[in-house]
Amino acid sequence: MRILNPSMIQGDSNDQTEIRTQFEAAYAEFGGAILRFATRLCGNRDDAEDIVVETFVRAFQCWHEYHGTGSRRAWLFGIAHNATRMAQRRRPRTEGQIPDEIEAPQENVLEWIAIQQAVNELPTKQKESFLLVKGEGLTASEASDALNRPIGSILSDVFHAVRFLRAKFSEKEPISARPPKICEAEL
Amino acid sequence: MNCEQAQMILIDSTVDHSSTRWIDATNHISHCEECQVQAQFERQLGAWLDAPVQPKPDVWNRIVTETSDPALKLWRNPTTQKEKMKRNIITSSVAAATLMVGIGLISQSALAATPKAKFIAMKKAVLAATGQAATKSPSGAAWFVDLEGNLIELTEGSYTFVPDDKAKSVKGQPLDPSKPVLPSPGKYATKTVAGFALKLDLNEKHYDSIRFGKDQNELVLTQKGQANTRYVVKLDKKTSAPTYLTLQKSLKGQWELVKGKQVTFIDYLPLKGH
Repeated sequence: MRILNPSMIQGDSNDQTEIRTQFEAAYAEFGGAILRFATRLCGNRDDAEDIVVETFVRAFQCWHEYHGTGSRRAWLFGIAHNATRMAQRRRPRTEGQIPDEIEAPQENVLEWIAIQQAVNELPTKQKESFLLVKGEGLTASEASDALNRPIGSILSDVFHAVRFLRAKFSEKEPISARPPKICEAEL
Repeated sequence: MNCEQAQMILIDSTVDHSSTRWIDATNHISHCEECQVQAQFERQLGAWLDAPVQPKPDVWNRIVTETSDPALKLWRNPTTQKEKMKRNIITSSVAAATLMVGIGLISQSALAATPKAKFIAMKKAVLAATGQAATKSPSGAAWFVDLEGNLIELTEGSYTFVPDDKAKSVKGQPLDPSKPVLPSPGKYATKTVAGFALKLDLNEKHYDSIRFGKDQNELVLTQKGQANTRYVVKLDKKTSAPTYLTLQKSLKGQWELVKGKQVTFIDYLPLKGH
């Protein structure tokens, strides 16, 4: 990763250096997770990368507004969620579209596609809560902060999302626990 | 406690494991076959959802580029009125001193601090040095400057661009006019490629990223849609005019100078005045 050049930031100081370090560390820790979350929501790797850029640029601009009352992760996912909503208003995703950055596993391909489609069939709010809690490992409280919804709604959304998915597969073979491969960057 | 209540308690990972609610929920699930099947299904889903993904390096480059835009108000930490006054006094003093020195010693382009500002300064310097206007493509989208002249091959794959016979150079430095350019096996030139035209796109909108190099005197330009190709332009520290330019390609993750039968690469691009 390229380190932010100190001369790029006007009025450099110790505080700014510390913030810059925090900013880079936050990207290193959460950049991949936010890309995965955005890709699953918008179904397109290129759009998701735009969302990641927008998320971190916005975070950079208002880094001081985060006072540590919630988790940094929840705060960043909240920004990413808003950015995704804005992107979807500009360019709505196609219904049932499979996220194109995810390479299908060599085994259980049909089953894997079915899971992706089933997740896409979830109502938007359920899908967002489900992907944050079950996909990204946020606590219900963090997801509540990120999505700006009551914690009870988050718990209910996740519960119903899992129940819906299970109902989809209740008469099929158990789903594979093997995670799909993700395409690596070209460079 | 029913199945839904028990499972929602388990979803909330912040619930204290010694609390009555947690103990009741786990008791329910340990005796409920339906909840156990649900829990097993959730574990399998979690494994699928946990697929690792890493953004391309270009994503971080874009963030760096965008956050270096001077139009952004960066690091606006809340400050007290007293701190603001103190800061304003210091800032004003420094600005006044800088202005006095700057008027006499350095050009406007030298004040450029960001990659984008450096790029704009470089664009002006290129046009001034070549004495020609930029050429628009037929669609009007691209904006090129044509630099026509001869190329002298120094070593394999390494060329010096010579706008005219009076401006030969090695590694960006003018040659000693008293020394002849030897065709072979001389030190300076072994081969000349005539009639070569370099097209350098000067429209910043056509670059995915514009950033400093490691020595802060370099601009690295990555063109849109060509993530594995980049220009590296060395700038004069005072004037921001380019002293030479390289075209590089990424091969197996490493940036390398382009070599081959066709001349698609210019190592050094000396311009007038350098």
